[in-house]
Amino acid sequence: MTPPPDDLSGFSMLDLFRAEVETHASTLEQGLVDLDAAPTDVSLIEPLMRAAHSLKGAARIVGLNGVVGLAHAMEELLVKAQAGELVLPSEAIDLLLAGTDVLRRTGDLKDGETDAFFAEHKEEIDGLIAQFGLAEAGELPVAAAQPPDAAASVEPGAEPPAEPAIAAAPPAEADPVPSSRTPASAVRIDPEVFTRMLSYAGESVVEARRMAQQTDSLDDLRRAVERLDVQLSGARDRMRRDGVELPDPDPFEALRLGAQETLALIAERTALFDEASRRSADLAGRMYRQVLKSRMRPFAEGVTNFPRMVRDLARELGKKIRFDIEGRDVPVDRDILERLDAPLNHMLRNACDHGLETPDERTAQGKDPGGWLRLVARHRAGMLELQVVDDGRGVEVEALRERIVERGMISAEIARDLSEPELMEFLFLPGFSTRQAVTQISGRGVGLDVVHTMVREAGGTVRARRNAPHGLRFVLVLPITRSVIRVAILQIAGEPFAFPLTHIESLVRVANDSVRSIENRQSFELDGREIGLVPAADVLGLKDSRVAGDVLYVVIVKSGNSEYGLVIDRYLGEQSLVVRTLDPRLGDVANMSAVALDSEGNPLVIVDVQDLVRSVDTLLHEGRLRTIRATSHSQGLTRRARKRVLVVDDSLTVREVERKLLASRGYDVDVCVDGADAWNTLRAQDYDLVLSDVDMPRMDGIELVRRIRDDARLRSMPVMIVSYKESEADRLRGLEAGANAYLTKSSFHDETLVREVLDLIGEPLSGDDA
Amino acid sequence: MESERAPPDEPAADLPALDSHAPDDAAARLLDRAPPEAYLEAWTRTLRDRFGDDDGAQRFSAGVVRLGEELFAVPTETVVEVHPLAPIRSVPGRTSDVFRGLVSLRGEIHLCASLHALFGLATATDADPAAQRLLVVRNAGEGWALIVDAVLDFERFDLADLRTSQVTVAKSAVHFTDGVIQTADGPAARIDPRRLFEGLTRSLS
Repeated sequence: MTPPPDDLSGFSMLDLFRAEVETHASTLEQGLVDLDAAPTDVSLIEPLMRAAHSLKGAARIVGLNGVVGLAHAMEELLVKAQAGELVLPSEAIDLLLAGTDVLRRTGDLKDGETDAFFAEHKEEIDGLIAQFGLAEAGELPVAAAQPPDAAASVEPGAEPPAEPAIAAAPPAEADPVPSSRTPASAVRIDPEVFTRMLSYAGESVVEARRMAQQTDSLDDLRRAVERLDVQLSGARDRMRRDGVELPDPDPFEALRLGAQETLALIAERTALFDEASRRSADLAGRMYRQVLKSRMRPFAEGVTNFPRMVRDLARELGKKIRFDIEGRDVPVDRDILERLDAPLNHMLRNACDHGLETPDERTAQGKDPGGWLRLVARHRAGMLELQVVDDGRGVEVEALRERIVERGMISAEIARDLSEPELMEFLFLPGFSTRQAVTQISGRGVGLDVVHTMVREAGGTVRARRNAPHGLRFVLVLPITRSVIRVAILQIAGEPFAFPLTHIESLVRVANDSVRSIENRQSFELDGREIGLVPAADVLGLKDSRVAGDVLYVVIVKSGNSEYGLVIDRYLGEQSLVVRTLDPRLGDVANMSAVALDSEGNPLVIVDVQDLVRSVDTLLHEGRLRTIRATSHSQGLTRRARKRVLVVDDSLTVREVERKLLASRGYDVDVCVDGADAWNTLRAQDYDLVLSDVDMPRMDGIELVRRIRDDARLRSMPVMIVSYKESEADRLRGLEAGANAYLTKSSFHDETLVREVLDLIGEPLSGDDA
Repeated sequence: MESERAPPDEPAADLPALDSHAPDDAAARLLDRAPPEAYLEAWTRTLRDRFGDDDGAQRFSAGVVRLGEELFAVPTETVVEVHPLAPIRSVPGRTSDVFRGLVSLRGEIHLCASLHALFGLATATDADPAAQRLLVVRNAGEGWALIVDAVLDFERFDLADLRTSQVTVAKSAVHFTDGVIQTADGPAARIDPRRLFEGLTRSLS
C-alpha cells in the first residue's frame, strides 16, 4: 500500500526513507564486501543485521510493503550467519548485494512512482526472496564458473532453483548505484547561498583590512595636533622675543597642556582601535577559511563505489583481489572529488583486468594467489596525492621500449637512451597500449590517455612507476582545491589581470635595445631561445595604454610548441585568489577562465593562458598583430632620461601642488611625507633635485639638508627649501644648513618656483640643455 | 555582576543576543506573542483608510533616475538596491560602450552596464561623479548593475497619469520605455523592464 500521489505527508516520509536508505545501503554494501573477504568474522555481521532491520522498519512505515519482505529475508539470512548456523559463501554475498541494490533503487523513487516500480519488479523481488530462502537452507546453487551475474540481477519470472535464473543482466540494472551519496551528517547547501556566503566572507576580509588602514588616518590626526603644539610654542617664543607681556597664568601653557592631553587621548584610542581591528581581521579571516573549507569532503565520500566494483570485477574475472583504501579522512575539494571518479574508476578497472593475474598465473610465478590493489590518498606538499598500486604483472620496461619503436613513435637509438620514467610517459599517449585484448571491462587497451586528459583537466598530473617487487604504481598529483589558485597580477592596458602561476613560464624585464626586429616581428633572446614579443593588450583586444619606458615587462607563456613573450604594462604582485565561475550570461569568453576578487575587493579577470597562446597563434597566422609600438617611441626617450625631483612635504595639498607643477613641466616627480621618509628614499635612488618643506614630523627640512650635505654621494645635489616661514632669519637658517634656494609657498602662484628649478637643474630632458 | 544574572544554561561567551528565545526573556515573549484575533485586520483597515488608495485608482511605484538631462522611472519591483559607484573591470572581448564589465558590490560580482550608452543618449559633459550611482536591477533572476547619473527619489504614481511617450524622450530611448509620467523633478519616461533586460542581454553578444 503506497500513499496516493497527492498525499503530501507521504511525500515527506518518502524523503525520510530516502535518507535512511542512503545510510543503511552504504553500510550494507561496504560491510558485505568486507565480509566476503573474511567470511568467518562474525563480528562484521552485526551492523549488517541492524541495517537490514532498520530498512525493514523504515519500508513498513512508509508503506513500501514491496520491499519489507526483501529486507526481512536479508535480515533472516544475516541472523542465521551471525548465530554461526551457516557461513555465507560469495554467492550469498552476491545475493545480499543484489538485495541491497533493489533497496537502494526504491530509495531513489519519486513520489507516485512506487506503484509502477513494484508492479514492474514484483517478480524480481519475489525471485530474490525465494533465493534467500534457499541460501538460508544452505541450498544456494554454487555456480563457480559464472557466479557474478547472480549478484547483478535475477530476471523476473525465473524459478529460484533453476539454472536459467542466473541470466545476464541488462547493463543499466547491473550498475544502479547512484554515483554520489552524502552521509546524513553532511549539510546540503544551495550553491547560490554558498556563493553568496563566500562573497560576504571574502568581503569581510577586505573590509577588515580597510579598517586597519584607518589607523593611518588617526596618525594624520596625531600629526596635526603635534604641529599645533609646535606652533603654539613657536608663537609664545616669538611673543617673548618681541617683548610681549604674557598674562599669568600663561594661556599658552594651558593650550599646550590641552594639546598634550589630546595627543594622549589619540594614542589611547588608536591602540583600542588597533586592537578591535586586529580582532575583526582575525575573525573575518577565520570565517573566510571556514567557508572555503566547507567545500572539502572526506576522500572516502568519493570512493564508496569502488570496493563493491573491485569485488564484483574480481569475481567476474575469477581473480582473488584484496582491495584497500587508505586515507579515507583526507579532505578533498568537492569539485576535485567528482572529477576523480572517472579516472580512478578507469585505473582500478585496468588494474583488475590487466594488471593483476589469475590465482593460477600468480602461483606459477611464485606469488601469493591473492593479489592486492591499493588506493592511497594523502596531502603532500600542498597537493593531493593519490596512488593506485597493485602487485600484478606491471609493465616490462624492455617490452615497452620495443613497442614504442615498433609503433614508430621514436627511433631505436633514441629509445635506447630513454630512462624508465621517460618510457613510462608513453603509456599516457593516445592510442598507446601494451595489451592487445579487448575486454568488456576496460575496453580496448589501457586507455591511459583518457586518464591523463581527465587529470590534466582537473589541474593535476599523473605518472606511472614500477612497484617493487611486482606490479605498477600510478601517482596522481592534484590541487587540494580548485577554488584557490596562486596568480601573478599583471597590468595590461591600465587594468589588472590575473595569470595563474602554474601557466606562466617566467616574468622578465627586457631592455628596449635588446629587442630585435626580424621580418617586422619583434623578439628577444632568453636563455638562448628567440622569443617573439606580442603586446598583451592587442591579444586581449584592449586599448594599449603602456607608458614609454626603457624596459619592457614581459611575461613568458607557453602551450604546446608555442612560446611567446607577452608585453604587459607592469607586474603588480602575486596573490592567492578564490576562483569563481563567470556569469553564465557571458557564455564562453575567449582568453578568460574565471573571475575573482582582488585584495581590494574589486573584480579580477583570470586569464586562460592556454587559450591566450592559441589566440596569439591565430593572430600571427592572420598577420593581425602589430609590433610593440612603445618601442620606437620610448627608445627616443630613454636616451634622454627625464630629470628626477623629490618633493618632501607633510601636507598632502602642498605635495600635490608641487608635484603637478613640476610634472606638467615634464619632470619625473616622486613625493615623500617627511624628512625621514625622504632620507630613506634618497639613499636608495638617484635624484637631480630635492624640494623640501621645513616643518615636518620625524625629521625637519633643516636636518634633511644637513644630512644631504654631510653625505659623500649626495653632497653635490641641489636642494631647495619651500616654506611658509617668510622671515629673513628662517631664510638664513635654511641657506646656512646648505640649501641652494629658499622659497616661500607663495611662489606657487607665479612662475617663481618653476623658474628656480630651471635655474638649478635645467630642462626636464637631459638632452635639451646639453 | 553579569555572570550571576545569566541563566546557568546560557553560554558564557561574550556574544550579543542574536536569538532572544531564552525562556525567561520577558521582553521577547511580550514582543513575540501572537497578535489578538482581528488585530491585524483592524490595523490593516485603519492604515488603508488613512494612507491607502481608497479612490480605486491603479498605482505603480518607480525609482526616478537621471541620465544626462533626462529623467527615467524604473519600476520599483525591478530595483534591488542603489550603490555608490565602484571600480569596473573590463571583460576582454566583451566590454563595449553598453556592457562595461564586472563590478563587485559587497563581494558579489555583477554585470555592469551603462544606461546612457544603451539608450544612445548624448554623453553628458557635466555629469557629477559624486552623484553617480549603480542601480542594481533584477528581473527573472537576472541581475545587472546600471550606471546612472543620479537616483533622485522613489515615488508612487497614478497609472492614469501615464501618457504615451512624446518628444520629451530621446528617440533612441523610446524603444525601452512605455510612457511618460510627471515626477516631482519633471517628466520622466517609464522604463519597460522586459525591453530593458532584452537590450542588456543583447549587449553581451
